[in-house]
Amino acid sequence: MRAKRVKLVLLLAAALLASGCWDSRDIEERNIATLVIVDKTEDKYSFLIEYSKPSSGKKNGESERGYIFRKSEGASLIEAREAQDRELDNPGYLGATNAVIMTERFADSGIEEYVYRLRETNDYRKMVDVLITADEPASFAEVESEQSSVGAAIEGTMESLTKSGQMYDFHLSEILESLAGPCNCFLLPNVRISNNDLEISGFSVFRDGKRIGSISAEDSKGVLLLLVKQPEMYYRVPADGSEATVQIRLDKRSVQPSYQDGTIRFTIDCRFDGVLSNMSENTTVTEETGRQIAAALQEEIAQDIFTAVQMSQQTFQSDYLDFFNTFRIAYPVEFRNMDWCSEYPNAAVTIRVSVSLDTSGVLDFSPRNNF
Amino acid sequence: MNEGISNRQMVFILLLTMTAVTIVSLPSTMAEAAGVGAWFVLLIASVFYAAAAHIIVSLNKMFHGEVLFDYSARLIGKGGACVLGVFYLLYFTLISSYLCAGMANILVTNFFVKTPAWATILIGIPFYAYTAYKGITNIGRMFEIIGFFFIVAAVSVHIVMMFQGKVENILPLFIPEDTALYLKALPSTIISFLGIEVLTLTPIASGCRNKAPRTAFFAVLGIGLFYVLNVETSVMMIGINEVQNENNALISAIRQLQIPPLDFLERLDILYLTMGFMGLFAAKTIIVAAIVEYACKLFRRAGRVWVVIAACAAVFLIDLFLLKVNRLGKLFELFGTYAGNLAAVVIPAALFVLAKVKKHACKAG
Repeated sequence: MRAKRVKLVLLLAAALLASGCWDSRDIEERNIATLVIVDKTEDKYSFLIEYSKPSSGKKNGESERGYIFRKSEGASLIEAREAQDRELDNPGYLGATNAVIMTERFADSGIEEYVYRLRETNDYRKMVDVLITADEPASFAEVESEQSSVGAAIEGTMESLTKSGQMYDFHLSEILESLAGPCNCFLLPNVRISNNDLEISGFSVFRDGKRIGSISAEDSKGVLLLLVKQPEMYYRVPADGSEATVQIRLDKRSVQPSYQDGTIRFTIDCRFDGVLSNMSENTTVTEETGRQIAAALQEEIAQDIFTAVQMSQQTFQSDYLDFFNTFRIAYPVEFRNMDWCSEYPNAAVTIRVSVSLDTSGVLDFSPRNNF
Repeated sequence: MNEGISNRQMVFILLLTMTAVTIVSLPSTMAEAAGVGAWFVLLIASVFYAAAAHIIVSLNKMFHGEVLFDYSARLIGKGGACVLGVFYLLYFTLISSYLCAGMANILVTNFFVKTPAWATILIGIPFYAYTAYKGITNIGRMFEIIGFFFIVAAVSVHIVMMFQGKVENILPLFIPEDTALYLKALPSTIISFLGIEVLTLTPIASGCRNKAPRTAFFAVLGIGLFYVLNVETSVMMIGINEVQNENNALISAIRQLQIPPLDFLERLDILYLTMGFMGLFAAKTIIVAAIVEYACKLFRRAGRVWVVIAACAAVFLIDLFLLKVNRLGKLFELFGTYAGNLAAVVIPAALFVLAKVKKHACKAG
């Protein structure tokens, strides 16, 4: 009996291993894409793709860069893609793509077709980072990064920003979700080359699959405060004739919708924990100074959130801040029967911010002087 | 050869047979039909089909050691039993092709893009033939092993999905104004609950008879809850609108999972490829066994080996033929709505009533 069971387990194990390798191909015989940059000029689409070279390393004592860029053009996306394939010595593999960058030119003309192409392309990961750039694609190929990939560097930057509460999770899957949703507005991070280095610089605003504008890095603080799960950032506020640098961290955020007499209202309630990092001058932080800092901080944060909301309602008239979700959950039937895109800009928004400031544990110059 | 199956084996047979193919597309089907109220519709349907499973197993309990073909001969005569036998034979053959098409679709669309569909069908045929030849009791044992791995993998994946998905995607949980829409969505669940009819060919082991109907009832309720978990977690991952665009929503949702400690396994859908397909193979195995069992009952003089060979050859050819039929899934949904309910609910319920009436008449007479 036991022997039979062992045989059965072995048979099942064999079945697991036999899950087919009909079209298997050695990794050395694949061009593994790590970064895809898609661009559109007046009459052409182009792809600039970074591939890893599995066999790279040191050649004749000199280190060889492990990544190469290949450019292709065509009258349509598919023609540009086919031209790319014709250039390659081995078939491309897109499953390891770290990031997809779209130029502003391309994004202005609409990204829907390309995004749906990515969805249908079996290889692509749904968690790939998608970014927008105003730079020329070729400039990414000029970024000096010895053995590492530009695509991996972008993914690493996005990951570290997300972990440190300065960026929110938004990948290909979320773009697809937004495009299928009733609001169809979202933000994609902008990336640029600065001093031969990559830098995330604000956001591009999308509505109905097309880029309609940009939010600079300076103006995106409020956006991050509303969209990042647990934002963490520094504020510098005046206090008692000096300047205080405070690190804030979101403790609780709630967005309460209400709908009365055809008017949509939102109350944003944010509670932050603040830790005083340093003062610009050698001064003692009294309780009164602490209160002043907290008040100034509350005002500044509220102003940033207000700017973000105002920009989305008036400048772009697009609900990329996801207010529709809270409203949809609270008023599903009313939401279904209204045109959210036209209603959202008229919604009244109240912002309440409170900061619990911790001044203890921060450099306090007086005790040291007295010591 | 038919000593009967234990209650645990019955639970795993139900789990693997019912969840085989539909689990992959259920999130999109239900999101389209019932929106955020999908869980409510699935729970109502599970109570209904749990009652149907209870009826089938009660019949098996009443006629100990016999299966539907045997006791229907006693209840409605040999001619009637033959008609039912032919009906179930044809029905299971079509179910087998549906499973096969579903399997080929998932494999070719998501994993082995260049593998010819006929190869994915052919590879399983000897396995199905061998297990069908060995009979239902051995299949029950096999389901016990596969079912354990399947349920551990599936529940773990869904729990991770629950943590990584967005709760707001499944809210509001219930919209009272949409109650009519939810009730209209009930037919969309039928295809997911088909599979209980395999119980018509599984005699219950003598030690398990008393608890068997109750076990079958709660097993189907449990599967209903598993479906709810499947749909809700997929919607949490993909979103209620986008999930409707994904035919293989479960696989898409699994692909979005990121588990940093399992960095080496970046594509978690491979987990489905192994565990999910073990379940799918198991389901196909029992359906082929059902074809063989009914064919053996209908053609009593033929040797079991020859019946198995003929049945598997026929299954392979019909699978190949039906694979070429466009929109087989949609056609089957229509077929399943009527023939499936006839096989799983109407015929067993009618036989159950008849058995009760005859028993009562015997007692009275």
